[in-house]
Amino acid sequence: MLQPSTPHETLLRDLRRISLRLRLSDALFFASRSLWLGLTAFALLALLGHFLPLPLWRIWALSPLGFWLGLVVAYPLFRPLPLQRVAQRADSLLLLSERLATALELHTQKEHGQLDDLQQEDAANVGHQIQPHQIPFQAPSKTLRWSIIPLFVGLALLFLPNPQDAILAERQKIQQTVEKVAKEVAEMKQKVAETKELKAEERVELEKYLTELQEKLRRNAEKQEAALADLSDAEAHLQQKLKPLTDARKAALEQMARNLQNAQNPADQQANQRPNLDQVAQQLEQLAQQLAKMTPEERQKLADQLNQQAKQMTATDPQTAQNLAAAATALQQGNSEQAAKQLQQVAQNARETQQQVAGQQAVQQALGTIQQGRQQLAQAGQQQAQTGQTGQTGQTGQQGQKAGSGGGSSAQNLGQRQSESKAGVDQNHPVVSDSKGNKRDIIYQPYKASGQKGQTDSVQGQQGQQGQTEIQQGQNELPGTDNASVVPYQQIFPEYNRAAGEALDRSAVPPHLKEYVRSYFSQLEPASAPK
Amino acid sequence: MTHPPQVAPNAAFSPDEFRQRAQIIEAEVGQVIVGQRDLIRQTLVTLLAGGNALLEGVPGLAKTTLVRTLAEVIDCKFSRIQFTPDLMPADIVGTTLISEDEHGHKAFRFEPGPIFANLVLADEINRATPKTQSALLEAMQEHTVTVAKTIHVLPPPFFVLATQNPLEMEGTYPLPEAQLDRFLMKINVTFPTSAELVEIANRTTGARLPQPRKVANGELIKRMQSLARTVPIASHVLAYAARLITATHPQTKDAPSIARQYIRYGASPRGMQALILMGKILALLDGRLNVAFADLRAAALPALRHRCILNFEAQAEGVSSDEIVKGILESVKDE
Repeated sequence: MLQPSTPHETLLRDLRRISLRLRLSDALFFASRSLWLGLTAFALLALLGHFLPLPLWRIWALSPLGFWLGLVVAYPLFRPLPLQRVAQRADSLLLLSERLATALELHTQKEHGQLDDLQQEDAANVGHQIQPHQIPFQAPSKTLRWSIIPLFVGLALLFLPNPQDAILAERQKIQQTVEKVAKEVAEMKQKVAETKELKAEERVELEKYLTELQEKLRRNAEKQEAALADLSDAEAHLQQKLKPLTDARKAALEQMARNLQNAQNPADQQANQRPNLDQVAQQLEQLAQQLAKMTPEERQKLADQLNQQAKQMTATDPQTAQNLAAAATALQQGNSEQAAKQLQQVAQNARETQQQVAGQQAVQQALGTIQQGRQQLAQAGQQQAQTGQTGQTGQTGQQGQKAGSGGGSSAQNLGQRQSESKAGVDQNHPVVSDSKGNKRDIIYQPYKASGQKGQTDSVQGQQGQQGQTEIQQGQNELPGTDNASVVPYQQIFPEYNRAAGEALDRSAVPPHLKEYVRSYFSQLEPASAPK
Repeated sequence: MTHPPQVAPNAAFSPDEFRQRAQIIEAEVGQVIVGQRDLIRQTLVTLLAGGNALLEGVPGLAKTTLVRTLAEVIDCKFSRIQFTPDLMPADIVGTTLISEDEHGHKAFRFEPGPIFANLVLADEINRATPKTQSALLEAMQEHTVTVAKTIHVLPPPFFVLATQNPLEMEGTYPLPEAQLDRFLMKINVTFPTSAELVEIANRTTGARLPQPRKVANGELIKRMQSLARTVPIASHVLAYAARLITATHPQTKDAPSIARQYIRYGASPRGMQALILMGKILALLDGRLNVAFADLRAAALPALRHRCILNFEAQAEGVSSDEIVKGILESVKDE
């Protein structure tokens, strides 16, 4: 480093040394003066975090201190401190009688007086004798003392248990659940895209709807009510897509094929097995080809059987019934060609029904996914509500929770979903026994705020194979006489479900109780019924 | 008797010599005047600043002795004018007389008055009429006297030291503001302490009276005056002086409350000149080569106390101008 050659250069060098010390002193002074602000903000935010469910409230509470620290560091670095000001402050702090500032200013003046050089030399000598540590650090002790209060308050709030943490955890769980549901919807969309049996327009429509649902869920990932509403809307929309008679038509067609096979080949062992719709179509086509070879007696017998089948299928599949009746009439008239044409039309109906069944299965799968997601989300919400109730009244509220947690059994068409459904029946469907020892499923067990057990409503389930309800097609066409049901259950369920949904939307019902109703209808919906 | 140093007209005069010479002058005056160090210092500062001073104090506080001693010490011509109500301006500045030479020719001849001296003591100046008092205005400001359309230059260094008695106000004519403003400073002469009284008694009642030495001369004083004016002053110090002057004006927005309450009219620009000049000399006397805030603060009281014209409220409440100037000094920050 070059040695300064003039008093002015010496003075500049010494002032730069003093400048560093002054910046440090200023930073400490600023820090001590402003510390109470940072600590007060820290304590206030920590306090706020104990009253409001602020995500990452600890980080937010500490952020003012970080901001304060940044300011303290930035203050000496970026604060302009010209040398003239340094000289004035050094003069003032070290009682130099304005020597340094005067000398610095004299150097910039064009006109030089008699004493200017002497003055600058004197100032340079004085400045050279200054040691930076002579400049004292100033810290207002009163301000620092007051800073202790918010410091202790903030630290105490930071480490004391915060009741808002539980609420935040629940919210996070809800968010995770919504994201999980959105992911399941995306997977369902992928499955729909891979389902070849679906018609192209149905597949596109379903994919589009699932995409919209996925986007809505991601938008409302933090809003449980909105996500539930989206899922409910989607559920209602898909419910409308369900064609209640499809399963009945399928069953009727399969039953018809079995009856015809029994009639023609009573000894055939396969006749007791229900054929699938493709086999039904093939069987009908074979029958149509054999018509020309049949004897009149055989034709008459087949015509009678076709008539009988037509009558049975009038309610579930009028078109097929009409074709069967027309085929029977043609056979009776000896018009085997017309009869064969009508039977081929029935075969075509069977194939169309098979395609419809595939589409329905896809819709039901989507519906099952949505219902499961909604129930998971509702459970997360119920836990949150339970947390809130427990925090307020000390009641557990578990009486009402169990009835609402018994979902997850609606999508029986998927193997995986079936196993989940079975497990769900065992775990989530509490069973009670009546006075006669019959086992009944609890379908509604309302929660009471007082903690008392609510009144139990139960219904006796029909135990079919593997615990699933079996649909029996009645033999009599008259309603209410020998049928399994007067009106097909699948036909009226959407209307009841929609009415219940509208009633829930209009009425002032607590959210967690709304979910009980939704769960109730979810368990009753046709998608959960076994084939 | 010590002879004053012989100073060449163009010889360099260093600040150290300035300070040493001033200390010697103070010491010599101090041989005669007991105590009153502030009085001696401020009188010397006024002399070195080329200004005039107004001494206010009760009789017998050695005001006249101080001026006389100072004149002896700096080896300058001294004259004393006792102001009385019947004193006329011509008695001060001089008059034109008809004189006859040896050839019998008669002509007007100017007879200089007592003002034609280096050090003029205007004793009890407030006892003369305003007309007579105003005869000093030109001499004090321009160091000239105009008589019969002729301007007579007064011999440098010229220094008027006026005294007035604050007690006996009967039959006096208070100095007008314009006259007061001509005084560089107003010095309050305080009563000596007991110890000083004892020392005064010892010195003045003994067989041998103290005799001051001549340690300077008019040329030296002029050089000292010139050097004093070259002392540099930083702009922020200058700004502080300006703020002080501005603060004495009650109508300005920066005026402190005490000025707003008690001052009718504040200091003139001459007040600022006085502050700066005194500051420069004080700096040199302190061994510094620049004016500091402390110098201005030290000069503020004598420079501003007679320039702050108090209002009726201040007079009614007995608030002195010294208190007001001190209040202004406290309220005006130097940074």
